Amino acid sequence: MLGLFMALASFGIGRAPSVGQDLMVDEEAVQERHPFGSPQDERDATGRALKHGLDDAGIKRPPLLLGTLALVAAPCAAPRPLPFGMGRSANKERVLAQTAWEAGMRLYRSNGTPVKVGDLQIGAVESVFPDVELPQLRADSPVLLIRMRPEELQVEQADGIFEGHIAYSSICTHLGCPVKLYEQQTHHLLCPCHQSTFDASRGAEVIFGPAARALPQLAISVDDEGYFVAQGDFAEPIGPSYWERDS
Amino acid sequence: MTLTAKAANGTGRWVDDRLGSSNFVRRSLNKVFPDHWSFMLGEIALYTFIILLLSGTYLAFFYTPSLTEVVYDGSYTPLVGVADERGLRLDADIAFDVRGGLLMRQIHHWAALLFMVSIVVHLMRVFFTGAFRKPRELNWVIGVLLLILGILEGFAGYSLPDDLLSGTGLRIAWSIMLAVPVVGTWVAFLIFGSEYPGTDILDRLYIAHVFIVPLILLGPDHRHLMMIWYQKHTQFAVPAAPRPTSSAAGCTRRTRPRPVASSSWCSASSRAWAAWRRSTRCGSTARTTPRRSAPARSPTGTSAGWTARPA
Repeated sequence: MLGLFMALASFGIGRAPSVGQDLMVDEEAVQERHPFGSPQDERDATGRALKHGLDDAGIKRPPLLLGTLALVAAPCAAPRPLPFGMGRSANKERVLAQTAWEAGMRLYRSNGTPVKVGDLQIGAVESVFPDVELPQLRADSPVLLIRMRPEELQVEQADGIFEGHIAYSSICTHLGCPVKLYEQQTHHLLCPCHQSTFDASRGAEVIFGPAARALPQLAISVDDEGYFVAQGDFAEPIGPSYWERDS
Repeated sequence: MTLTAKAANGTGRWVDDRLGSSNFVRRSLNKVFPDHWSFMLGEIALYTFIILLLSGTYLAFFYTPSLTEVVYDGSYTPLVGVADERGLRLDADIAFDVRGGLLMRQIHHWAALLFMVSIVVHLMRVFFTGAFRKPRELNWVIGVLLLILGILEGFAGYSLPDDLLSGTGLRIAWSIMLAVPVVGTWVAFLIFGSEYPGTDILDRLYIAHVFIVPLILLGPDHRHLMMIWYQKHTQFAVPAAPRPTSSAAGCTRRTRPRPVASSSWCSASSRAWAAWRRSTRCGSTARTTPRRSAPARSPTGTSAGWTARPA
């Protein structure tokens, strides 16, 4: 109601001038344009004044100018602490390369329950996360666990997969969007942001779109109680490209 | 002379004695404007900008950027017990517990969309009518600068609510920074404070959104208006235009009250739209809000938060 009355009031205020406008005589009005350029003598005078000012400031005396510049540059060249708290990012390469996954860590759903063998039907997917509290740790760790028929999986290494279950990082290697759209029949994984498409049956290699690298695979196995666990962290940094990474 | 005329005369003389404003006032009053509606597009951008400043100031009274995780205990029952970042908690508070808060949020939201749309349509009008040519090239450049600043301001703004759009938008911003050759990781860590989602980024976007970018916007905005006032509007080609140096055809002083009308209509329409959205939203919050927020965090804290909520 508050908004409705505010809107009505504004419409009223807006209506008044337009009534006034209707009452006004509709006559064509003429206003001359004026040239923008100044007369030549004025330009010359301004140029002279500018030159005079520059001369006064001693810009034309190179030793003075160079001396001042050297004086300014000297402290900049001296070793000193990194500005703006950049020292805090000293270990950034290590931070970028690792996620929260550790060997033996169970794969948890978003509701906090771990995923067991047999929970997923063939063709099903599940978003899973490591059991960590900090958002900073959670952010680069989401994984998509996929189950397909074992014979459909065409990956060379059978070590990190378990009976047709395979897990990939769901952070797009293009710009980091969540890759969670899975097409059962074709095994295509689609990123909604820029349509990068990955083939989940072939190690999530890129088959379409701007992504440059396959989604990193999380090697999984099963513990004594039948729950899925990670074999360790990803073999390569997840997410988008950056200068310092090898792959 | 009537009493009113006398009073007006006296006031006018009093002001002119001190400011010498007669000439300025006369010239301003005699300023002619083109009658065509498409010359009003830029004004819509200006008025929505003013609405954004006002509604944004109101929202800033109740918003503090924070990534601290809190458990909701406010007045909206479906959310009680749900843990989330403090930014989202503040959105909920502004929406449900601040008087006129949801309305203000909606006004701010829709005015922001209207702001960007009007800028783009205005630029298209100027482009396709060739109004950017000499002597108005500088104003065209300033206009494009204002568009870019508007996009930047919009991005900083929609990153603040700390919802799914914020998380994905920030992740893309982080990734683009990270991918810059040589200095990428330095730039990203410098701006975000640590690895995405970052410890400092929300505070920085907040001060950028409410202070730095609007301040930068105001400068070129002012320059933009002064320049068009000084150079005068373009005009559509009219076959019988007598002299190409005058802005005669299609111009009238009758448009003088129009800015008042269009500015209130801008604010009225954004309010009406906001009010309507508010009523429809309130009617269905019981369905929509929990669906997005409820699976956010489990008691054991194992879920992903907005950084990785299942899509």
